[in-house]
Amino acid sequence: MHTYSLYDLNEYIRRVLALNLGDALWVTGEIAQIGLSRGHYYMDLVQKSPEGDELVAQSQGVLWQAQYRQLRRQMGLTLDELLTEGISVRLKVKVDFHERFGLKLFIEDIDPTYTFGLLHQQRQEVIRKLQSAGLFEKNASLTFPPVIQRIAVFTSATAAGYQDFLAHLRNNPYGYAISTTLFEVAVQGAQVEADIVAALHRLSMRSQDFDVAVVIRGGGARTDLAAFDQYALNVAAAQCPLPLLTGIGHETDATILDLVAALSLKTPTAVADFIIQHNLQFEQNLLIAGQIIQKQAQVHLRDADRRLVLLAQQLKLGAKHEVIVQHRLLDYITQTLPALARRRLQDADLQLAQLERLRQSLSAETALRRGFTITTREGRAVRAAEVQAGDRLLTRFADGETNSTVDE
Amino acid sequence: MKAPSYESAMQELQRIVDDMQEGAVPIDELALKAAKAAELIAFCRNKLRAIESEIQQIDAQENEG
Repeated sequence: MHTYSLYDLNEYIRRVLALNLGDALWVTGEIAQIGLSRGHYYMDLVQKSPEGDELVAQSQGVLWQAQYRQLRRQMGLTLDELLTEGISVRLKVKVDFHERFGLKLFIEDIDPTYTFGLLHQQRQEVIRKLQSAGLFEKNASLTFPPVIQRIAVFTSATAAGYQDFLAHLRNNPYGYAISTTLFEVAVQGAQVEADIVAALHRLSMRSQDFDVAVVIRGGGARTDLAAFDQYALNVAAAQCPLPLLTGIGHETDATILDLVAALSLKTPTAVADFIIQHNLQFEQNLLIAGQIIQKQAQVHLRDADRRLVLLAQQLKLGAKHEVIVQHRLLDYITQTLPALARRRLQDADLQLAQLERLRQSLSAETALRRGFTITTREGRAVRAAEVQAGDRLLTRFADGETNSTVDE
Repeated sequence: MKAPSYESAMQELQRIVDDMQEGAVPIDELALKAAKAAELIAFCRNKLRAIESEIQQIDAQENEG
């Protein structure tokens, strides 16, 4: 059997490949790793098993500087967003095999619609899972406390926007005292999801120390926001016991975290502004409440005053009425007393007269019993000098009466 | 001796009236009772007039205020 030299073999492979894969072709894969050297991009392109835990294919990709510049002119910043680790891409590549450097895929074009379409699909899937787990609306259903003064800040100390955020809060024109506590997390790169999940867990241990949690960072590449679309991060965010605010600096579509958060704003300073305005609203409500209380108190006082005046009038009228009643009573007594006294005297007179009559009749009876008689002529008592012959006399004894005629 | 209250004066007056109506006043005391009643009536009238003028003074004070 013929033995080839390594060069002969590789030279043969090159010719076979060139013959069969002479034209550029489109291929999909994920950028596992990417580096820049002397203006050229070198990357590991991989394909994972459907379970996502095992590599089933891997190749080296190269984007030469000249090609990069041409694509950059066509696509702008989007190109840089696509050239990111962990991103699935659709590339137009020319398969190249070099006798010494082996197989490489020279990148001629890149299809952004594939990547963004895929990201969109993944996002929809994550949203659907969050909804079916009852988590999608969970954080949004929390209400902000009346005053926001203690803020848990999830960002990197070096992140663009963090210092702006702090300065904005500090320089609020109303002099509100607002304290911030930094939960240091990566806001770009591969660590974002794990960092934020861990930090949210730390926060939940001491959530009573804070009023709200905010996730902020300055602007960044669009694909760099992919971490904020991840399921685990959004599960943790949805379960955050505090209302979550986001200001993760993006111009285009909101991330899923923005949808899950209680409030999503464009930038860190917008978040700071919201917090200040929220507190201002509370202060204004306090002032209004104070005014209402004052007004109500005045109304109550006026009412009480009016009632007192009314009561005083009623009392006065009552007193006057009572005086009048008493006067009438005295009038009545004054009128009736003399009549009563007169009647009393008349009664006494009558009594006396009766007694007199009784005395008279009693004295006549006594005389008769002793043997005296009473002689009457025509019903009247007579004396001897008055009697004439022929008079008819009635003589009354104690035990009876006799009639007699005077002889002489 | 303390001046009697309007109520006690009125009670005494009422008792005299009641006694007279029932004929329970001895004749010897009739003139005495009548005089006492007149005295009590005068006392009550004076009291009422004093109270009236006090009420009027309160009215005047309120109207000033």
